Amino acid sequence: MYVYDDFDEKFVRERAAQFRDQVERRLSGKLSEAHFRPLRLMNGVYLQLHAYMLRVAVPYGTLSSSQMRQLAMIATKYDKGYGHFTTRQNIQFNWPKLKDLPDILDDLADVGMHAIQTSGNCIRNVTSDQWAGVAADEATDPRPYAELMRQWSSLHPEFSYLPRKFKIAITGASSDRAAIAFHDIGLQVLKNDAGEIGFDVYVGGGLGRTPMVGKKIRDFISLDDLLPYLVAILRAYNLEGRRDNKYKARIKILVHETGVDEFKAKVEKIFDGLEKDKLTAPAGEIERIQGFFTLPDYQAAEANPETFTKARSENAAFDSWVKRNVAAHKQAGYAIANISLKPIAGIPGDATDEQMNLVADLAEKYSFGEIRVSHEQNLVLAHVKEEDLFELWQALVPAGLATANIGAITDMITCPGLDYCALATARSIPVAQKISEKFADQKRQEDIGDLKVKISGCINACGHHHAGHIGILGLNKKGEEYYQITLGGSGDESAAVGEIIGPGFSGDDVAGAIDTLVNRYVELRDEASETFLQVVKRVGLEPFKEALYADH
Amino acid sequence: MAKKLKGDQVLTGQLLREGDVVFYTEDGNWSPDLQNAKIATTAEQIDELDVLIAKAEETNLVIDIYPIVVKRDDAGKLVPDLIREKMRTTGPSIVYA
Ligand code: SF4
Repeated sequence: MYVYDDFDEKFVRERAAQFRDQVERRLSGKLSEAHFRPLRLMNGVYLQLHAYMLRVAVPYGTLSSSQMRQLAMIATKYDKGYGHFTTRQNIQFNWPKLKDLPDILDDLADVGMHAIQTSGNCIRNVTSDQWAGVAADEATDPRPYAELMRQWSSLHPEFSYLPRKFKIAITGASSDRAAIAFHDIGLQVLKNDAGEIGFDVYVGGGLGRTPMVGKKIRDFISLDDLLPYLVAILRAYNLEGRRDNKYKARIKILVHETGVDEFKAKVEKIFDGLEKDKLTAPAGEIERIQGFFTLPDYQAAEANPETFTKARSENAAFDSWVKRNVAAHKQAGYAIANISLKPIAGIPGDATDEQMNLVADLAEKYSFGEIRVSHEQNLVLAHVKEEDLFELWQALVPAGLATANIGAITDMITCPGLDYCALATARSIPVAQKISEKFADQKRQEDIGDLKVKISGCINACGHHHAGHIGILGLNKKGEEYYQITLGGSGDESAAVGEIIGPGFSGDDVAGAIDTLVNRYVELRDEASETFLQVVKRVGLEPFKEALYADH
Repeated sequence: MAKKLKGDQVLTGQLLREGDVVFYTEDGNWSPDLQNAKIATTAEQIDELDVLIAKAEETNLVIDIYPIVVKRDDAGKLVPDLIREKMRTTGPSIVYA
């Protein structure tokens, strides 16, 4: 894991001290709310529906056990005993008090954390594959480059007042678990036959009210040219992105309105004119960063040890968990253990202080003290010995952390919606809970297989509904919540925006509608291995429409 | 602002220090309970709300102050007209923490 150097440490401390002073001046009335608001937002403090909300950055979703414990402590001491992991691999606290926030920022700084650039029109937390470095299907570990971009984008003077927020995601695997096509910039790290690193660059993807799949504008840009090329894209955007209309200000609109070819030409022109050697990382810096991401000291471990296979055959619940939540690791005898934060009828992405502490302990015991947060709002222990999996699972069960549903229908991305969010038009969480209850049966979930349901409480699409195989968007019609359903979206390497299937449903009827869609899928599939998404792609929306609306 | 809304209105905001949702009361204080809110019914009272907002902001205790429309339910209790404001008044509709 990357550890802050003196520079990082100093600027985070300075920022916390500045914020303490700003809060004092605000509370004493020396600063007006109008003046203070942008300052608090620069430190991740929002005013939500019921309280302030603090969003803490978790760079590319990686946390140490001590950081996780500190988050748990903050949840206990200053909040209501829980936190919410977000689709940007960050964590949010829903109930902090403004008067406590300076102390919270100090506590975060103690473990090398902060809330800088978790709000505002700047480059936000760079996100990545939650299995980075260990996934069996990965060509190159993207984390050193994510860290390089974190350093480059932190308090970047030229890009601190962009037309709108800016999100970068990076993956090094063939299966895209970081949804790079739905980011302002998506990067795919590759290695050529000569062993050199390069990056395919996608630009202009995004969700929100105008969902767009990112377009590739560069193949295999070299590592030396990566930062200059990012500068060129951001400069083109900073100069020409719209500032007159918030809803048209993201780079996706600029790329769309300009046309990909012309936009690329503009970027290339800026890129050609840059003094690249001044913008690239100094010699030795990449190697220094890479040094933090070497794989831990794995022990020689037997693949599929007998203790593990025996536990699987004797314990059906453990076997289900292994099938759903454990993924293949690069290192023989090791596995990636995914911890679901989607208990049946729970609140997607929420974790209590006790759960956070337990995960921190388990990470220390079984996974080199490292935890990952996924953009699908789950946690990951990335380096667990197969022979330890049964013990790990037994420790997770009593804490409600062993739900065997990763990638299954009850593993829904769900935004906070109208239960917390000041911008929401409808609630998301209760809808997710009803769907989760409906599909609680483990056998049925296993039979349904991979199915991504994603729910947003308004058109801003924080719940990625456009990218859901089934997407649900909460709206408000004549004062009542109602929900629009889309089918066929996808957030991985086959990125696609879902299509609206027809008239919406009331909050009480959504789960039933999803049930109808899933039953129709089961009838339509050629074989059990044909997924929901594959069936939608093969047969189109019509058979699903018929099933949903035939009686209406 | 208040003039654009239709119906009886109360003022709501959030405590600067804590962030809690509060309502402006008859005696010029702020209460977490909507039932204690001062209700503006007549055109004059509704006009006065904008003045009250400006004054309340000066005290530096409450932020994000705005008027909401309220009605009485069958039991005579005040309820906000909009679902968003209902949620703000009652808190999250789910069991959390
Ligand atoms: S999608 Fe809308 S309701 Fe959900 S978190 Fe984003 S802004 Fe809030």
